[in-house]
Order: sequence, then structure tokens, then C-alpha cells
Amino acid sequence: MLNEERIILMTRLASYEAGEGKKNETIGKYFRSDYIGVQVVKSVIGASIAFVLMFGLYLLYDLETLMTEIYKMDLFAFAKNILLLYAGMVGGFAVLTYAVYAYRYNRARKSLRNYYNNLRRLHSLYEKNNNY
Amino acid sequence: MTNLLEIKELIKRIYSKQEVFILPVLKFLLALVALLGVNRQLGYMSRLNSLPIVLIVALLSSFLPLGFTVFFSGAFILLHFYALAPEVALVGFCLFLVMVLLFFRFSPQDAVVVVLMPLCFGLRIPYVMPLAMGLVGTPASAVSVCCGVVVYYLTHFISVNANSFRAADAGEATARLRMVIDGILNNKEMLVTMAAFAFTVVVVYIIRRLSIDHSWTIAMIAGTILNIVILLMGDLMYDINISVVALLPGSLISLGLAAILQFFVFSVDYSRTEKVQFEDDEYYYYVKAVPKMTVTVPEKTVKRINTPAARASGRGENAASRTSSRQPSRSSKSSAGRNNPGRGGVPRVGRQAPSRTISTQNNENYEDEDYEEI
Repeated sequence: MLNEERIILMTRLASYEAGEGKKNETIGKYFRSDYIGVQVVKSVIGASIAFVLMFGLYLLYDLETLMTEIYKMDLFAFAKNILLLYAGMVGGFAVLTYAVYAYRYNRARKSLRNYYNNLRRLHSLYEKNNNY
Repeated sequence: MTNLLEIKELIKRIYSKQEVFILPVLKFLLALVALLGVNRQLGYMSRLNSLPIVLIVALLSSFLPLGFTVFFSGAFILLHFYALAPEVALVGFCLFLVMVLLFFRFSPQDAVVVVLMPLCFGLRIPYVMPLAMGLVGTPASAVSVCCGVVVYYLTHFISVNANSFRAADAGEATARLRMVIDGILNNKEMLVTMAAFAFTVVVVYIIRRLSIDHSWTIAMIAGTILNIVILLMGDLMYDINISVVALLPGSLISLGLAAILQFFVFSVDYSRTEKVQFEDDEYYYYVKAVPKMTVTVPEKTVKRINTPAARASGRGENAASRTSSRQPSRSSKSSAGRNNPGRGGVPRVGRQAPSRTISTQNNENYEDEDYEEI
């Protein structure tokens, strides 16, 4: 016997699973700290590659000046400045990533909680039907 | 106004029914226009300029996710750069990679703005993009808009200075590299445009989120004015020769376009027809969920006017009937509730609740408050 309420609920759940739920479920598999940690690590790697690219372009841009002045330069001070720049950029980007993904994680959990509540409701509908 | 609302409903109906075909066609057209635009502006690699290649890539883009359109456009730009000078391609590659690594990691769906922005520049209406992104996006969309501005000014700079790059000897690789980087970093017009567009996106977003009447309209107008003011201030401060003759009509056209987009696109929930499959212990369910369509018909109210003389003679009823039949008044109130807080005084169309029609193996149709029977 077909149950209208049950089918409607199942349709909503299937639609959620096929769309937004797919992404949220992937997020929901992680603990909060693990999920945010992984994203921060990815961001740090991305920012490091971006920094290397930009630094490489800077070196190529100023190659002639660097080659002529490399013996006069304070290389330690130069390296320190570069490292400080790197730390600033990567650190700032990591903080931004933390904020963005903490927000996304909380939103996904909330959405999944709603989904699980609907699953429980569906389960109770089945039980009710079996009892009759 | 009612006609416009009916047109909107018609578009919505057509879209929900033909979405499977309309989306690929739109993606195909976007990719085609973007690639033809790249070829027209740059066009240094003769092989890429051939129409069959452009058509094949546009066809590919039509059934691939939207990100591929951005990827193909970027690849076309880099290949043209490479044909002109490898150093230019190197700078372009680094710039695109930095954008991907730093900015599009957070909102890959916004990457399409980078394709749309140069197209809008080509049509002399770039001001529509910050307005549109402020209306539909978040403050983070300012980053995508700025990236689009950078891509446009990069390609523009390269196309304008193509002869200089060609003329330079192969041994002057560093000089060419410096020329490109200088061309990007010292481009004051680009920096002023980025600042103006970023502020516009944020201001439009903040105003349209305010809980005031006509917030979307106010946001669009305020955004347009702010954009013009910042660009003119930048022009005065850095002497970048922004053409006021192009700026003012372009801004007004952009404002009009943003209003049209807001009416036909942004405020409409183009719910898709969904097809889902699931099963339980007893049945397999193949469900087609169809968006419910409702056009609220304006209610007609009859106003009774009883004149004292008519009332005295006992013929008031007849007089009122005659008056009302000649001058029917139309109520603009809709029973369907608010669709968009920014459009007061307009006959409203009920917000489209997502609806689903359930068809099972028994060929039964169900409908709930959101669902309709087909």
C-alpha cells in the first residue's frame, strides 16, 4: 500500500541527497578540527605555491639588478624580509581559510541534522505503518 | 506591469520544462562568445582562430561544468600569449595560477565572472557586473570581479602592445617580462577600476540586504552612483583619462540591465524539474518533481458609491451597479505574500514553492501544499 506522506518525505530526502546533501555528507564525515585542519593545510600549500610563483617572477623581473648587487647585498636581511613576507601571506591566508571553513562546517552540520531528523521521521512512519 | 509578470512566468514555465536543453545551449553560447572574443582581441595563434576548433571547444563546454568554460578561455588566452611571446605566457600563467590557488579555491562558482567581465568590457558595459554580483553574490564576489578586471586589462595591454613584443629580440626575454609586469602593476586605470568595482559590490550587497522597501532598487542606484564617483575621483587623482562620455551612458545602461536582470533572473526561483529514484522494501519509486506554477490573478473589487439622492429615492443599488460597471477598480494586493521586498506597489506573483508530483509504478499522482498534479 502506497503511503503518500512517506513518498513525499522520501522524495525530499532523495532530492537533498542528490544535490546539496552530497557535499554536506562529505563534510559531515569529518570531525570539525580534522575538516578545518585539512582545508587550512591545502590553503597553506596553495599560498606557498602562489608565493613561490610571485617570488620567481620578482626574481626574473629584477634579475639584472640582483646579479649586479648580489655581492653588496645583506643576504640575511633579504632572506629575513622574504621569510617575513611569506609568513605574513601564508598566515593571513590560513586564518581566512579557518574562518571560512569553520562557517561552512557549521552550516553543513546544521543541514545534515535536519536531514537526519527527516530520516528519523521516515523511519517512524514505516514503523507506524507496520504496526497497523 | 502585469504583462511583464506574465512574461516572467512564461519564461519560468519554459525554463522548468526545457531546462535540460536550455542550460547546455546557454553554456554553449557563453563559451562560443568568450572564445570568439579572445580570438578577436588576441588571435596570435592561427590554429586557434579557426572556427571548427572554437565550435568543438564550445560544444565540449556545453555539457561540461561551467568551470571548464573558464578553463578553456584561460587556455586560449595563454596559447595566444605563447604564440606572441613565451614570457607573456609565463606571466599570464603565473597570474592565472595565483588566482586559482588563492581566490577561486573559496568560491569556484564565481570563476565565471572572470569570463563575463572581459565580455562586458567589450560591450562597454562593465559596470553591470559589480551591480549584478552585489545583488546575487556576497562581498567575497568583489574578489572575482577584481580578477575579471585584471584579466581584461592584461589582455587589453598585451593586444595594444603586441607590436612591441614582436619587435623585441629573442634575447630580450627579461625586457619583455619586465614590460608585461610593469604593464600590469603600473596600470592606474586598472587599480582604480578594481577599487571602484570592489566598493560597488560591497555597497550594493549591504544595501540590498537592508530590511527596507525597494532595497534592491536603492542598492542598484546607489551602486551606480558610487561607481561613477569613485571612477571620477580616481580620474582626478591619477589622471587616467576615464571618458565621462562613455562612463555615464555605460553606467545608465548597466543600471537598466541590472534592473532587467533583477526582475527576470535574480528574483525568480527557477526551480528545476527533478527526477529522483529510490526504493523501499515494497516498491521502486521513480519520481519526477515538477515546479508548481502559479500566476496570481489580480483581484477585482467593486466599489459601491451611494449618492444621497439615490439613497433617498431608494435607487442607490442600481446607481452603484452602473457606476461600478463603468469604472471597475483593480486591487494590487496579492494573497500570495511577498515575493521580493524591493518591489512594493506591484501586483505580486506568489513565490514558487518547490513542488513535486509523485508518479509511482501504480501510476498514481500525489500533491501536497508544494506539489501539483500533472
